Amino acid sequence: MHRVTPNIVVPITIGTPDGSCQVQEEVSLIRRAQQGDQVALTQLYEANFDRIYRYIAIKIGDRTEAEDMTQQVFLHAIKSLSGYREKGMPFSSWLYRIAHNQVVDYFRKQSKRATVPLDESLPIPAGDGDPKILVEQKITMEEVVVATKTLTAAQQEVISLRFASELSITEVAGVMGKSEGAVKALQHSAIVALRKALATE
Amino acid sequence: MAKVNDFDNILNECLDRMINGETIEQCLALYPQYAKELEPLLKTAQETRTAAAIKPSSWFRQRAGIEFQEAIRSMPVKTARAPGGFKWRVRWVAPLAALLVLVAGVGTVGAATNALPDSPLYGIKMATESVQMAFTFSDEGKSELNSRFIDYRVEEIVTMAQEGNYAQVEQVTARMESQLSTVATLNLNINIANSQQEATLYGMAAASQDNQVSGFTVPQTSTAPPAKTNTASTTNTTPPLAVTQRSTQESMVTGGVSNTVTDIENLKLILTERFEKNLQILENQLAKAPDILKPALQKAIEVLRQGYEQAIANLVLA
Repeated sequence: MHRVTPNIVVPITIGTPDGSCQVQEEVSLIRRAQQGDQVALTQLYEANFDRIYRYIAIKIGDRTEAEDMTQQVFLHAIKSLSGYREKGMPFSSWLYRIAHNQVVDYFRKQSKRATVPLDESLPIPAGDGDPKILVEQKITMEEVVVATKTLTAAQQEVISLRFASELSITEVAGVMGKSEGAVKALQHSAIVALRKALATE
Repeated sequence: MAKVNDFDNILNECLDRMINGETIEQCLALYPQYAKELEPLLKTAQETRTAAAIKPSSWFRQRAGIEFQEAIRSMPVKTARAPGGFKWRVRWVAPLAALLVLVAGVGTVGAATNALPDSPLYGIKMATESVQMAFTFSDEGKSELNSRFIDYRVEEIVTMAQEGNYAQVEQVTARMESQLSTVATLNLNINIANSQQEATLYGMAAASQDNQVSGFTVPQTSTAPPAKTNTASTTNTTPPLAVTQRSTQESMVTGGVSNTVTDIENLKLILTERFEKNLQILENQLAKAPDILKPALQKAIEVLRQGYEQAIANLVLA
């Protein structure tokens, strides 16, 4: 059962992969993007694309769907950008909310039709191309994706945001609208539950 | 419970360290007392991270990039104002607002009163304030009116902060700083004018008293009249402000100075009350503001504090 991510209550800073995009720069970037600045829009896209993709892919375990859904997240974001208001919510949190809603819709539709076998649809690992490593990662990935499905919605969210998107605990707290302490406790219980689920596979 | 919380923190710290490149063994070495409990969880976390370290295929990335750029190009672009646009607005908005104030009175101007900095009506609001200021003739009146406008600026800062509009918070703060500076200058003028008026009136009073009552000391300077001594009086009480002590006698002589002094005291009271109220409003907003907005709000508070303190200090009678 998936819940809609609650409102963001904790301010967070999502940077570019190298961490160079600070809060004020992001605010400026968003303002420019809202005015149709193509460079700013592209920067926001590049800064968040891989994270959003990983967030979706680890949740649904389907490469093709994850790609399409990631693309839809950004196309939706472009259409809705003029209505975006910061209100203490970073741009990336807004993107995660869109992504989360896409995932919820996906599972709603999936429940009405047969699922794609996981081993044919899992994302390509970001390994170095060594076939042995690829196989090992793929197995682990398959196990993790399956095991994650036994977790609660909140635990899945923490795992996706923390280990797929690699957000800090503060950022995860911001996205989920929970305190850092609550997210830490949730993270603990999520890893314990995941470990148990992996052990039983 | 404390142990659980401690463990949650330690687990999180180790996860952060692993994300930053440290090994599980390094983390365990930091917390040997928790090593047995930590190790399996960190291994699971590491496996999960490895599993999640995925990237979209290069062909998809390329296709998605092209589609995204196409979508950007089809976005409705907000056109920038023409270079002369703002000047045109400044040139016409003020007379328009004046016309509206004088003829229409309410209506558009009324609607503009609540306009926010990001509203098209905000220009009318600013122009209306300028018109109101132009039709206020005394410095005391201008000072009080400016302080009322500062109330509006504080309201605007709070609203912009609630909307997360960092840039507008900064812009309104700059506007507020300018208005506070105006209040401070006006107050200084008021105080100087009052001192000069008092000096003149003291001179008149002294001349009059010399003719009627012996022993009345005439002040020696024009800027800081000393508390006078009325030898006819038997009281030793010293009120906080010498001017207050003088008022009855001066009123009898001049019929007007005490009103000026009272006006200054009233203005000081009004400014002090508004300062305290607005400071409280901004501090409340700061307390609940997201971190991203705190620097802008702290700046606004500092501007308000310094501006009002200077403005009020300039009213303190010499």
